[in-house]
Amino acid sequence: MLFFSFFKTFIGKTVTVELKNDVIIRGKVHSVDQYLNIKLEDIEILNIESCPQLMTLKNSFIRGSVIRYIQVYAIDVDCEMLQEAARREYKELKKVAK
Amino acid sequence: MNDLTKWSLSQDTNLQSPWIEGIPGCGIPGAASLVEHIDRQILVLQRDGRYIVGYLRSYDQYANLVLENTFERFILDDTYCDEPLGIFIIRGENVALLGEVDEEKENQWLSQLRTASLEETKRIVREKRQATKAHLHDQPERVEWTFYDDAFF
Repeated sequence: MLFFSFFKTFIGKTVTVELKNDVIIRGKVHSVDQYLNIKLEDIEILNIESCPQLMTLKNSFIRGSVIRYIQVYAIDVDCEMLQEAARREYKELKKVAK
Repeated sequence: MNDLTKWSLSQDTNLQSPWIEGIPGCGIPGAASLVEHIDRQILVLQRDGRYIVGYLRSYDQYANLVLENTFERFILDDTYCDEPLGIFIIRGENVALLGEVDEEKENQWLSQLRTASLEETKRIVREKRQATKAHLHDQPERVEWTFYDDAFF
């Protein structure tokens, strides 16, 4: 669930998503759900020549299972907080295991 | 069976999606945000690279879709053609991406293209697909490993 919360912090921020079929989309995150399906707004296809049809879209819902990478701007990420959260989750898991 | 009555807007606040009663999947914190696309014309890019256009009538948490007035759009260089398909149910795993079509942009884009005969375009596109498919499966042969953990060795 950590990554779900993590991706929720990107709502409203601009990210670049690369799909497993090599489509690269940049857009503003509208919403994320537990499967890490991502909805983008104001999208821009970076490799338009491979899929000109997608130019006509204004927003897009990307199924989490087809995402290869998500590129984010470093300024949007608080790595220390993320690390801290990961440690916390690990501790809680250990507590449950006991 | 999911008990839809158990879910409420309060569990769904992080998604900021509207709650519409009687729509399956709405309020389930899954693909809930698709509710905004209901009854709109959407374009679906499938995992195999096909484009399906239709009116979204229903969906569920796996992003299984029900589309009406569906057509598959074939594009070849500067020509295009549509093949009407009727009602379509797409299994969620095959969906890569879907989005609402901006009509203005679409018209502008289609005006740059010529319509082509369906049969011919379909044939060429299918052939191309077959070729890329063959290429994808054209992987190096597996290395055979032998483990001598048998008593005889």
